[in-house]
Amino acid sequence: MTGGTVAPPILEIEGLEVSYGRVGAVRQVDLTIDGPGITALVGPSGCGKTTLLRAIAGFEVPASGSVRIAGVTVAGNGSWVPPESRRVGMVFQDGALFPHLTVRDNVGYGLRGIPDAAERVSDVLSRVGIANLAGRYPDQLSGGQQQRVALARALGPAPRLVLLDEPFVSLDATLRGRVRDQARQILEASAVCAVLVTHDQEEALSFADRVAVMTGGKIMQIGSPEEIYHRPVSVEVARFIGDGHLMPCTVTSGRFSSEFGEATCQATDGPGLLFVRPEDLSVVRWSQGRGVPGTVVERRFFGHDVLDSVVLASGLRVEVRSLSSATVPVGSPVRLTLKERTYRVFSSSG
Amino acid sequence: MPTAASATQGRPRTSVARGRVSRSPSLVFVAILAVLTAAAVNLPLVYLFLRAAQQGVSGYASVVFSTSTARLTVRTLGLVFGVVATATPLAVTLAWVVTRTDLPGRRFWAATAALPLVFPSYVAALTFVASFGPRGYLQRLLEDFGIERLPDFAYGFSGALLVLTLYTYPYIFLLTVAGLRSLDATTEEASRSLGCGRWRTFFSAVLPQLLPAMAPGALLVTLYTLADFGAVSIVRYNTFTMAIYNAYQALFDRSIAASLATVLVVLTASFIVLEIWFLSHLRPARLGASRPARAIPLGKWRGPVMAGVAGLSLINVWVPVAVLLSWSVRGLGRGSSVAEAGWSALNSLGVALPTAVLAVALSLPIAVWAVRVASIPARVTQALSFAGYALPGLVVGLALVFVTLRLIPVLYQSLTILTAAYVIRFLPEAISASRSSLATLAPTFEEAAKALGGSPWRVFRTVTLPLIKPGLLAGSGLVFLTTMKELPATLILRPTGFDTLATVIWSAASEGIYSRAALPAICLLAVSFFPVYLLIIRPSLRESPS
Repeated sequence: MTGGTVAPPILEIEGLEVSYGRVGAVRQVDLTIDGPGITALVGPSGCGKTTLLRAIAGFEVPASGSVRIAGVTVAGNGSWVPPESRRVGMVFQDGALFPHLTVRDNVGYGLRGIPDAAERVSDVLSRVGIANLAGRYPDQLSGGQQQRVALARALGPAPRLVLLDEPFVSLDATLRGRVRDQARQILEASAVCAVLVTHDQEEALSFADRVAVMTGGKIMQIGSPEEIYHRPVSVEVARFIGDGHLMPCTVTSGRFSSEFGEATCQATDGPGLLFVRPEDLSVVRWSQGRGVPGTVVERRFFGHDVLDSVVLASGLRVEVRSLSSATVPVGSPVRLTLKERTYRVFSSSG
Repeated sequence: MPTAASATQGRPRTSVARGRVSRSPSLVFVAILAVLTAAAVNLPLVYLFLRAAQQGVSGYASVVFSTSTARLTVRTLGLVFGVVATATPLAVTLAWVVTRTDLPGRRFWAATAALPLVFPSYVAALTFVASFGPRGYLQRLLEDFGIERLPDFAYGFSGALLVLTLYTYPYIFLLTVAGLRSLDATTEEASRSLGCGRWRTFFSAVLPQLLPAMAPGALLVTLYTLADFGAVSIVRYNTFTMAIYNAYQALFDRSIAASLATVLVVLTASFIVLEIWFLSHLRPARLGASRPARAIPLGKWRGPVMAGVAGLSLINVWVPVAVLLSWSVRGLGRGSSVAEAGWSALNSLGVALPTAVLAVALSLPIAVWAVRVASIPARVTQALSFAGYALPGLVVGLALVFVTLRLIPVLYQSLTILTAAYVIRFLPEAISASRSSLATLAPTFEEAAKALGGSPWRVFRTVTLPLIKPGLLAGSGLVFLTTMKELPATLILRPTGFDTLATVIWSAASEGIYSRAALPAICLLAVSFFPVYLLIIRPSLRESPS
């Protein structure tokens, strides 16, 4: 960390505590972001993710702990740097564009007093692909265009860090995906360090290089989207990211036994919880091979895949995702099997 | 606050609903009533111009283009610009302090800062001159400390500027508070994350967004200043209203008063046109605060800010009240002044109550037509009914003198014509109230009642009226209040010997017998306080403007 020639991390948060009413507080958060890339803070509403983002930007004052940006302590240890001096760009939920300024003036807002401001404005406008909108006012733009202007405005002063506070939430579903892809390309091309706050786990997994899952004011797990999805460290993370079932099992010397039979696992002995995602199960006709018996009671068709509801002999109802090309009829008896090594087992005691 | 600009913005209706409604015969009746009212309200204005035209083009031009008129224009406009330029920063600073800082007792100070609205301008000027004028209370207080002379600022331009600023800034203040409350605070955060400190954020991100809220307040202050007669007369600053009144009283030839009045009407109308043009060029602010703005800690400024806010209310609320109380204690010794106050209070109530009922009743057809149909004739009729908004009370009075003398001399200086003057002057307040309560009432209620077979009149009586009653009561409360305070039209049109609270205060002030003015002034303040607080101050200061 203290090596002389190594550049300090863009963002270092240590033991951060922010009190914010009853919900949305931040408790003992540590987070380090070394360099360019997109980190998503994802969690249910009221988990403190927005408060954490606002503390980084300087809109919330932490009760304790510290925030360092590019090696400079901006909050904590007796230091306080106001938001305007942090060189942190921010994209707000609904853009927060200045309604009385044109797109050009909105983007130029953070560049006043800089000699080549006009060139930088037109450069960032064309980078974001909205050069043709420069003369318009925000109320003449669509929601997606407004968000791109907001991104251009945040990138204008070439910040070290860009914070995005649920920037796509107010867009309608069809537009959201497109704007999101564009924003991701722009952020990657700008080689900037970005932190995205979202309650949408799909958005977090598809948008970010790294995902931090927050619940109850704490970061539960940080990792690549694949790690978060396939190797959740706790029941909370597993529950929040993607769909899945938790069912009781017993662990004895590296093997669990449950309604789905037995298999190896890496959990401590005792009662445990088996976590299975709908795509971890496969459903086959009764006549074909072995597996847990059940009945398909309902089917939802999504196009390339289907989601079958299967009731097991014990009365437990589980959901199974399979390709829509290979299905069994609704109402028919089936067998369920666990696919190889995709499940997780958590210790109940832990 | 009623504005001519907002009056013309009808609510969008579906074409289906509009077509069905406009074919019904009852709506034709409503439209006829509305057009008649609008015409009647504008009749005096027409007569005013006719009266001014009687003297011929050269005679009219000799008055309008004289150096004395030019001087009056400069003096009047100078006062208008002075008051707006002083009241606006004062109001915006106060609004910012009570909405965005951690000043202890912010709600209390917000209400206190709006209280000057309770004072009629002549009462304010009277107590101001008595407190801060030569040989006033302040000077006598300072004599004990060896200060024998104060600069004479209580009279003339500085006096008029101070009195009108101190008592009209609440119009801008209340609208700015509402504007600040509804403003989305994230634009302020966006500005700060882009490297702008608090000051620059305020001036380049917040203030431009407050303009749409502030501008109607500034227009109200402008119209108030242009129309004011009581305060400028007491501090002896000669503006159009004073010149018109003097010309009317002193000279046999009333053409001069009429000609001067037309100039004042044109001035007032230009400001309204300017305002509409200005507002149409503004972008609406970003509303809908997603999260409340964090209170800004005042820190070491807390003491000075508190002292400033308290000091201001001392000057424009508490000292005047104390002065009036001490005068009235002195006046109580003389029984005659108590009887006079009682009689004039009854007279004031006697004209203000019918005016309030009549104004709201007349406003209903106009509002129903404009809100439920929103056709161009309906909107034009509504805009024309706002004439009183642009007409100073003195001009309305003068115009009605000409109308009655010409058409119905029997009614000259009768209570009927006095009530007519009040209705013309204050109809806009009633229309605004009726209009906004009708506009917030979903037409589906009326449609449901109609679908159940109710006749239009029955639907209006049993569904619409009960639902908009609170708004109508508020409207009549406002008309009642402003009628109670009205001075110049009352002076010109009242029957001989008919004294209201306003005229008693006025004559006591012109004779210099302050103790006689005190009791009626306190009555007026007491009567004004509740409607002003309940109908204007409290709704404007409500935390969530939903």
